[in-house]
Amino acid sequence: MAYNAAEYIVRTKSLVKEFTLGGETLRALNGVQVDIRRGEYISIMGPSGSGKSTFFNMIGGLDKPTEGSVFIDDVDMAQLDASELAWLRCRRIGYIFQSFNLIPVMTALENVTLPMIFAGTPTDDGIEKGIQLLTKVGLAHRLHHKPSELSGGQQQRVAIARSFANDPAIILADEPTGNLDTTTGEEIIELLRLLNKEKGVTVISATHDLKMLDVSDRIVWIRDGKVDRIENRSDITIDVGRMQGED
Amino acid sequence: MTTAANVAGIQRQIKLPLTKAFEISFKSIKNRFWRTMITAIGILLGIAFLVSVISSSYFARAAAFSYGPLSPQWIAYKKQLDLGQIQTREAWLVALALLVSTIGILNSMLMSVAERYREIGTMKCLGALDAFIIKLFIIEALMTGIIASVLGGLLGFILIFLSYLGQQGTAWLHFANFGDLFKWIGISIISGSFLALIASAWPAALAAKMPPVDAFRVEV
Repeated sequence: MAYNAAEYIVRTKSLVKEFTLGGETLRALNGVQVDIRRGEYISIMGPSGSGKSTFFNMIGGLDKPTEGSVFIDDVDMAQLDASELAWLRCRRIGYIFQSFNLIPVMTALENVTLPMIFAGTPTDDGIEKGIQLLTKVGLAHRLHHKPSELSGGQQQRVAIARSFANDPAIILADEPTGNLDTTTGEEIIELLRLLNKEKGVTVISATHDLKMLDVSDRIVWIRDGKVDRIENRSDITIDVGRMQGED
Repeated sequence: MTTAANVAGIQRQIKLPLTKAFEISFKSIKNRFWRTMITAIGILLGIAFLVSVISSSYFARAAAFSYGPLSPQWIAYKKQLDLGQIQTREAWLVALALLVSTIGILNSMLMSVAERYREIGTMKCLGALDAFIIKLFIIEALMTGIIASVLGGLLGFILIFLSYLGQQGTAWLHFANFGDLFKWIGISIISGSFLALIASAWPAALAAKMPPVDAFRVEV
């Protein structure tokens, strides 16, 4: 199969990660190879301890592999110096975390415009764009509230707006619905799906949530530090049940 | 080597203008006001102790001498001076005050940075350079450290000054070496501010250099 450079936005090669804990070496990742296409919505699934989070941290540049390489846009992450890596995180990747990770002393608008400050966007343009993004996620009326004044779902929506601040090519979502109730989680999933379709942004999520799998294009199953299988959404059947009285 | 960053052009670098850094630092202090107060009080009390020990030493000498060179007070004082008793005691007090201040300031600043490891990790994910993180923490540490050290110096000096005025009257004022004393108070205040800066910038720099995933893992 001919390899088209423009097609793959993230590629990993023989990724290995070892942790030394209390004198013992733990091999969290044992040779992982995944190619992610531009504009794709891909979910990484796996039980606890499978290496899913470790793998996720590798492709997001949040941690460094012991062996192997991660290529983002055909650029080897290990070759990047600190300022190039920072540029990548500022301009090309947006992060969404399970625990939201908003800056507690800043308002929603200030949180969303912070990455724009780093990118050198003029203040007024930044504020305007920040308001647009927050309106898009449904928080136009909560611009000047601090995270402590927002519900979990609202905080996650601020985090999503923030991740889009500098028009990234990739969104990395680590268990985005982990700390949210079912209904709010569904809203977040729908929001990410919409943004993926509208903006053509590649969404990579690590998740346990079957409803997230439902909207993915492909699913990577990780088990014991290795890729178990990669499936297209169309190849699998997902039955998500509802409990009576859940709403 | 062509990297994505180079291809995009030099104009699109990452920056944190100084005015923005000040805004962010000021907001941090304002919004965690009481937490900052506790840190500041730690610095203030340490410097107050140090300055009061130094002031006492100068005022005690002046007070003893104010009774006259042939007075029993001065003779007793001079005797202790010749035996080295005064120097030993004062050196011990200054050393103790320095130790207490240093540990107090270090503790305050280390705690306040450790509480914010997660915040530092988040900022790294938003594209902040290590230098930005250090800049933000230095500005905060200087704002808190300078104000707290100056107030501590004032407090230490005024308390001892008033106490000597009350006990010894005003005769000793003529004999006190205020020039020297103010020099040492100035040095104490600068040292306090500098220590606050180092005790904040160093751990912040360490946190900034960690891979973000480690910064998130830290539990305080």
